[in-house]
Amino acid sequence: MFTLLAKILSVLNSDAQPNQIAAAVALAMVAGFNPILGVMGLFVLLMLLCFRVNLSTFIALFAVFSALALALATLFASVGEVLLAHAELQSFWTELYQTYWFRLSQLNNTLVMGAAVSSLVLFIPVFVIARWAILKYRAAFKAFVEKFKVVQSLKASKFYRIYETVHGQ
Amino acid sequence: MTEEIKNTTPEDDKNQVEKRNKDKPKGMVRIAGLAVTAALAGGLGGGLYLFADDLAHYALSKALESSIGAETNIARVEVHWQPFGLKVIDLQQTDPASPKTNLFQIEQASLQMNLGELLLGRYVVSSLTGEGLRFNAPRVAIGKVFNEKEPEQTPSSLPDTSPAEPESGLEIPSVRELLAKAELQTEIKAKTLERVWQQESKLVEQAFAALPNESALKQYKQDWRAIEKTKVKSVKDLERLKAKLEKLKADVESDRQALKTAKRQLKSSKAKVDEAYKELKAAPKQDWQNIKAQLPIDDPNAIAIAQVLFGKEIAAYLQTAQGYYNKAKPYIAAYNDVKASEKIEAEIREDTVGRDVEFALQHIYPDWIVESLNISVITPKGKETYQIEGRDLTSQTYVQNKPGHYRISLARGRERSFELDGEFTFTEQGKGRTSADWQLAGYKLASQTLSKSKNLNVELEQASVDATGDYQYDSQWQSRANFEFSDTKFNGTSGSELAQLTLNTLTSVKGFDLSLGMTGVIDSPDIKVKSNLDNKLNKAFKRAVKARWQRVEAETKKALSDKLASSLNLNEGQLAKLQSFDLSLDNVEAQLKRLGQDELDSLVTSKKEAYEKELQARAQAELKKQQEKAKAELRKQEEKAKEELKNQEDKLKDKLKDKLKDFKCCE
Repeated sequence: MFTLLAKILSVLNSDAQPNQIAAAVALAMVAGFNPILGVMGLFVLLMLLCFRVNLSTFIALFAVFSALALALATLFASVGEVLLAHAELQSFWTELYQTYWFRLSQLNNTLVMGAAVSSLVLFIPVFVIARWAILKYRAAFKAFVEKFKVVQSLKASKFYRIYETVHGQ
Repeated sequence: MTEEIKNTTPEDDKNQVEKRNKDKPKGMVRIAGLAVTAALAGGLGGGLYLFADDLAHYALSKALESSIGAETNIARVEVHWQPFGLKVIDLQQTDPASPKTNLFQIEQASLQMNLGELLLGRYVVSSLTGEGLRFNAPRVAIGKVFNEKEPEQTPSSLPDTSPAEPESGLEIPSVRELLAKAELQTEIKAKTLERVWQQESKLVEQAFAALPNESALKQYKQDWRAIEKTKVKSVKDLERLKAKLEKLKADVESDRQALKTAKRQLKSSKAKVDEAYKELKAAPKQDWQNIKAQLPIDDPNAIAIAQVLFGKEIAAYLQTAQGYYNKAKPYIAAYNDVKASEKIEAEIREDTVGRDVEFALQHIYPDWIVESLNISVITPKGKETYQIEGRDLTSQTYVQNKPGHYRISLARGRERSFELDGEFTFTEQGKGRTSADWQLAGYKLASQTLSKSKNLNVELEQASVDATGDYQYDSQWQSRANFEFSDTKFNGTSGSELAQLTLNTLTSVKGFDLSLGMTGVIDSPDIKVKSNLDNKLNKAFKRAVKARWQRVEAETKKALSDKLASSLNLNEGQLAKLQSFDLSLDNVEAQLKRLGQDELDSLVTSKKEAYEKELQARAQAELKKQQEKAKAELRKQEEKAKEELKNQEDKLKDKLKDKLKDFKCCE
């Protein structure tokens, strides 16, 4: 846990580009909310391979979003239920259901559909918010936070030693 | 600044360039990542393409070995990508129960599968063709058996402690055996008549013993005459007469009851003896019926000679079918287990968050289906090649709501053919139903033994068979088959008269039909076999047995004649005795009738009346006499009274005269 937090702080304090970190956050959210072996999981894997995304942030937040997905499962299922049971969308879903990729990705399941749609809808807002937060943190909070006695005592703690170890790598 | 420039070395310049490059913001696209992705995809695709055959070979071998539990040998497997499919060349699957033979083997098989459905976990085989499928063929080398089970203690594998196998075939009894088995009724009924007579004659005699004899009847007459002559002079005489009559009446009544009992007994005994006598007379006819029943020659369905002759063959075919069924049974059970576990898994899944929403599919498929099948099957002896075709073969016909079809055919020019067309369905609960029609033409039968018994060996040397039939299974089997045998040639040996007769009849037969019906469960079906061969044999049997019976009947009658005749004579004598009993009963009855109740009662009445008349006459005479006497006395008393009255008048007149003398009137 300490290592994880240390890694996140390390990234935030590093020279890594905000876009890369924000993309990692958004992709971690998509991967965490959706089944890793489904279509969305493959999409995220491809994104990670092809685009420069901060992997440390992605790995750290993937676990966080996976845990969050469990808490939000009922909400996702409700979203999926609304979409899949919507009368006006029946012909659309029926047509998609004829395709193998749709059935292979199990998008006819209310939970999977709800999670997929929710994560896609949230992708851009999460990216934008994450980028804004990183920039804000670096511009205003980094020096400000370091002045806190809590932070200073934290620096003297074991946690900080771990952070230094990580940062030094 | 200049100094600084001056002091820089080429190595420092290089480091500075590297640093600048490092600090320069990198683009979002990861070139190395793209390359790795491409390399991975290419490697995976290429590897799959190059090693697909070996992978499929390995996967198929392992799958068969683990599911069947014995060595699988496959010469080659080829994977085709467009359309996706497999080609298997020379597949041999060892039979785990008999490693020296193959459970099945096939020279070549090709199948095309729907890849999309395969990824979804459904085995949709759009086409399956095969050549040279063979069952139970011997292996070149003994196959390995994995997880070898303890061989089951089948009856055939158990040490043979039973006595030597009995001879099979048609046992035909000799005439002597037949008559011995028949329990001749003639003899039994003669004995019955004798016993009935003894019982009944005893009862009749007992009843007759209670009847009055001649002297008793004479005594009645004498008593009667004595009573008739008796003169009643007093009441005492009348009382005595009455007592005598009462006694006579009681005696006569008692004898009359005895007579009634005797008559009743005689009637009953006569009826019983008559019945036994009739039965004895009808016994020979009954004996013939019994013999016919033992060899039911009037009922060609019951004798089932054809069943005896062909039963072994039918049983062998049935055993083969049951053998295949038993081999398939564990796989059916395993499939049902898988279905059950899938159902449980589905039920568990239902408890999780979210649900699967099903939409209508244009092409819906069951878990597995062979849409088109075409396989040539070689018989175990390798002489025949059957073509097996199928459409929509699946255990879930309810998914597409259409039946599966199968067709088995044999075509060898014009000389012989076999065709079977059937369809089947399964319900969601796993209940199966099938029906089919089939026909066979020009099938040549090889020489085969039909009966091998102690007195009859029959061999069908040759025959040509045409047949049609149908069957259906819906919880129970129901099948019919009609065979026409032509150009038949029987041969054999016989050891008895009837066996010889059977053989003669069979050897004269050039053609016959055989109809086979099977109903019930597959493990123990109820089989019915009918044939006009039975009629032919029955007719011959009937003729022979009847002729022999007539001789035997005469012989039997002769043998029984003494006993029977004596019984009959005895009975006739006894019947005459019964008749005489009847006459004597009539005589007694006539005699007793004369001493009837009315006669006895009228005698008493007449005697009583005579006595009463006499008494009346005497009483009247006495009365008259008393009346005369009374009248005289009355007259006497009247005269006396008159005289006294006159005297009193005179006295009164005198008194009156005296009084009137002193009295003067009106002066």
